[in-house]
Amino acid sequence: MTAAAPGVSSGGGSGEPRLPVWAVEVRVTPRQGILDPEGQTIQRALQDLGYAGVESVRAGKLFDLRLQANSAAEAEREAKRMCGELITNPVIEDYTLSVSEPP
Amino acid sequence: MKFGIVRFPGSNCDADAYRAVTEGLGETAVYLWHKSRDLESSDVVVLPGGFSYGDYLRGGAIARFSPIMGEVVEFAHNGGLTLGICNGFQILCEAGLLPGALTRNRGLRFRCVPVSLRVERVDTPFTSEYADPDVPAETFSGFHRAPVVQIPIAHGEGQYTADAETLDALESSGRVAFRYVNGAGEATDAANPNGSANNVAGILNEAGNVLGMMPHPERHSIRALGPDDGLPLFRSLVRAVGTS
Amino acid sequence: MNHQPQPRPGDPEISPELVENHGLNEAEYASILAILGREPTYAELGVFSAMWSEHCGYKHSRPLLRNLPTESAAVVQGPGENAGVVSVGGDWCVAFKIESHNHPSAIEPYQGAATGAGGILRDVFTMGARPVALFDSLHFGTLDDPRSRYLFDGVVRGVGDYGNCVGVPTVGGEAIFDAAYEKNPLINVMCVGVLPVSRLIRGEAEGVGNAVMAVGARTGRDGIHGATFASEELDEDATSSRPQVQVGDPFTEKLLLEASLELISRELLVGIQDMGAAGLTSSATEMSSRSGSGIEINVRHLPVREENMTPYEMLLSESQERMLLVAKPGCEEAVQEVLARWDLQAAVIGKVTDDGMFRVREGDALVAEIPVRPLVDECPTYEPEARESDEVEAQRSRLDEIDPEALLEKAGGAARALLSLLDDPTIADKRWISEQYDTTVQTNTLAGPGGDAAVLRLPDRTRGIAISTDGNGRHTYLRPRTGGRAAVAEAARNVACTGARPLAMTNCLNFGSPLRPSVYFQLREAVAGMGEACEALGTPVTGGNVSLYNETGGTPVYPTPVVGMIGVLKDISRRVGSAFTDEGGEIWLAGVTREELGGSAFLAVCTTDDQGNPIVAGEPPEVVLEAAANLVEFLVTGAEAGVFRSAHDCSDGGLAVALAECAIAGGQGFDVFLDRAPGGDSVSGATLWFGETHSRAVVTAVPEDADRVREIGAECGIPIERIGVVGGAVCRIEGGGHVAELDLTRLSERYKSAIPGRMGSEPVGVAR
Repeated sequence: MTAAAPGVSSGGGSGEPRLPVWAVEVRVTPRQGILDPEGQTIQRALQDLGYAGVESVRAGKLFDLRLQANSAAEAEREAKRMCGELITNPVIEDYTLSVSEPP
Repeated sequence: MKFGIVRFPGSNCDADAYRAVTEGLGETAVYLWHKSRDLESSDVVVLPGGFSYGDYLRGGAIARFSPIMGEVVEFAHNGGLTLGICNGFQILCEAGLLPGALTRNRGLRFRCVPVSLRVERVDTPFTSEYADPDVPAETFSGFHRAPVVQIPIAHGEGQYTADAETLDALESSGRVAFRYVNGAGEATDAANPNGSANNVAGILNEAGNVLGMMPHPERHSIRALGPDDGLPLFRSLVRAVGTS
Repeated sequence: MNHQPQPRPGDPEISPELVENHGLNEAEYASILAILGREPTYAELGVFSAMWSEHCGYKHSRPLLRNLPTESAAVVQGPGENAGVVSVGGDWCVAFKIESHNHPSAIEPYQGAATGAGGILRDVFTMGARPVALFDSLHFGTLDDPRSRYLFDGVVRGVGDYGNCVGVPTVGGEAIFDAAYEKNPLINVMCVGVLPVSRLIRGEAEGVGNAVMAVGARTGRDGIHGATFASEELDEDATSSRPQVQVGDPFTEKLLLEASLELISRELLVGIQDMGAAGLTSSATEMSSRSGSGIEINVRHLPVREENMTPYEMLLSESQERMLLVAKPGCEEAVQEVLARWDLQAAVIGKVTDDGMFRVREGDALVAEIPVRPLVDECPTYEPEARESDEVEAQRSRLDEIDPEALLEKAGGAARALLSLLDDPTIADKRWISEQYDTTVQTNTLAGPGGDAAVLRLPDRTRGIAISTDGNGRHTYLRPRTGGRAAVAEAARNVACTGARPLAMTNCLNFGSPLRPSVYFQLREAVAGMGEACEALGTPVTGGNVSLYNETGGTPVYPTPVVGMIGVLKDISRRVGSAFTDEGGEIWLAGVTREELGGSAFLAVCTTDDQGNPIVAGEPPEVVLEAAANLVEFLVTGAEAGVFRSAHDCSDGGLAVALAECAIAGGQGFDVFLDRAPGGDSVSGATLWFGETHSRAVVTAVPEDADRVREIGAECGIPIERIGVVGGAVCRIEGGGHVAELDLTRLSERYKSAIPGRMGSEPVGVAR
């Protein structure tokens, strides 16, 4: 396998257009008001360790996607659809996402 | 009559459900492969427990996109009797057939224990056989309630969660089918094994033909192995199909 | 074509340092030169290093293990395969094995334990058996130590999450907490599977030209040299410097399990084996060694998940959830179809040959060519100096001048000592662990954790199997031969308590460095003792695992042989539990009590020496082999006759603890007078209550059956006396001049809160 040029996919298939690649970071957190036992546990543990200033902890998940799209805006639209369809469950989770050029 | 038991690649209570139907109940069961689009004329569809697709994202999140689920959703929308147990309950919620979601247990640990359940209604296709003819059914919110039964749970993500509105709707329309209770039949916090809202252990859809529950009735359905408090649930389904 | 493997560009030069870093000594390297007739390539050096590690080559244990009995009418497959197999009657067989994952779990408890469970599951289903049960034998430091709590928490979650996801119930095990294991915990996992005899398949590579396929997860750089790592002692800084932690993927395991069983039942395979320790190297060479064939692979065809992997890395990677299989001729496509159905990928990476060589190519380049037989079967073995340490001798005689009654007084009296023992995490209720395990999936569990042995229903629906794991490091430390015997005798006794007849066993030998004469002495003696007990009880060893170098900073763990015993129950409806359930039932003690307080939990938990340390001293209870066999006969006979309403083994904590456990389990109190027990009038009070004399059991029967109980005792040569009755809310014990009257609820609370009280309500893993 050869390394792709920065920001450009190697486009394995024949004749596929080479779209720019975007780094999409999705941060998923428990929806406000939903019990977050993991966050609470970490908060208590930190306080027990003497970090008295810890006011709250929310524990979530981070997804790092590499996504081909014509533009950052298109990548964002795609990613939002993915979040709605699979990556998050809106009944219990909120998310934020950011799109950037891959490092 | 025929029970169709869906097999996802990570299902691991499929054989237990099969055995409950065939050995415990003496009825017919077939496995329905997740890549298939054929329910094989099943009278009842069971989504069994397990870890359908590994469930590293969320229990049931990926399973709902499988080919068979398209058929199950249609079957359920047409009034077909659909039972989701444990992971099956998670899948039903993810697929939108039931409201709410199942999140990590309050104690953050997997728990496998027998629990006491109150059968909140005995007038559903899933619970009619829990009615005890010798004990006058007590009424609760206008619905007949049966005695407490013992059925095991085995899950890490079984905390039933829904917004207040959904919970109110479930309660007021009598769609909570099973509730975690103590030996005396009281829905106390100590009797709640996973932190579920309102001690909810199982719920029905609006039409009453879809039941999702975290406890495993199929594990308590064979007399030779011990308690069989789960068997009436399967018998109820046989009765419902027979009279429909 | 090259005729000899050539060094690959970028390979380090073979130097004495490199050889030493591969754990090979000068003589071993000389053997390698002689076998090859030339200098090895870097890849070849790696292969020898892994195969001749303690873990794969059994360098220091092979000569000792030869003396263990391995055959009986029931044994279908003895040691040397992925797992042992015994016939349990009818068409059914049981495949089972125990394995350690001590060092990986010491570094990353969750993944270490999870991958341990994964490995032993694969060993069982690659025999064609469906895994039906997992067991874990766990040893940690005391729960006062924060790191031990962290390790304990992580290991339990690791075993649980893996087994729960694959859908195999974890139905029993043991958890021992002792400072001796603080730096080096022991994590042994046993798997039991069931198969029709016709499905049995072995790890063989037969048939010249047959395709060799790699199946399952892709190969990464994780766990390279895990086998060598398992064969060294843990450095203090082991956490940072060791091979990459292997991460388990139970979902892929489940797919592998189902796909393998389907491939086997459709008779598409010649042989199949897990790529476990030493990965591709050991699976390929062991399979061809068993068949007397050769094997040729091309690493270019191996699916990898990292770039630029070298042949060295691919040969030695221990990435999890991978298997090697040899397809029957013409079946490759059918194999691929089955695997595709389970969304698994397979790659043909080589073929079976007939020249006895393990040949590895990278494209056209030959990178290794080693004769299989000497590589697999001629690992140098050693029988180093064995000498008992003076310290242990001194500990054994230390109790001679101490009056047991004075110790009991110092411990605050009998009632207080009993409560302390019930509060000891090693003895206490283990629900904190077992509730995190799915114990009932597969719906065969007749008796799960908490009893003497787990009992599972067999597919014929009439018969069952009983399983128990046992070992006693403290006793083995004080007298290794006795400890080896005791592990076998106790496991057999536990199995027999359910009414099952012990059939065969697997063992896991957890010891320190064999280069230490005192440790090699322990190993030699314990194995010898184990062999004696196996002979006496008719329970051969069908396989197992040796884990040496369990030491940190020069201090070895207690020598800890763990036995996993399988027994057969003819009729599951005659199964006996340990709980006191029948009010008015009569309590009997079977077996003679002797003045044997040495090595007891009472000494270790309830008493301290002048420095405030627990007393681990004295001669541990002797295992009289004839009595051990007679007691098994007695328990099985009484159960089969339907006479025993309960049966429970006396072990840790002695008779008083055994009685309390029966009462707590059944929710019934009791009233007993211990002086009536066989031998009861000739031992001290402390010993009568808390001594751990072997070959004893507490059984109950209805009063009408009293004559029957005596008859069975007489028939089996077991002295037996009625010591009391079941019933009430109070547990009353009188004997040896002491009396205790304790509310059952109080005992029960003590027993049940011991571990949760120390662990808190939340996972420890999030805050180390």
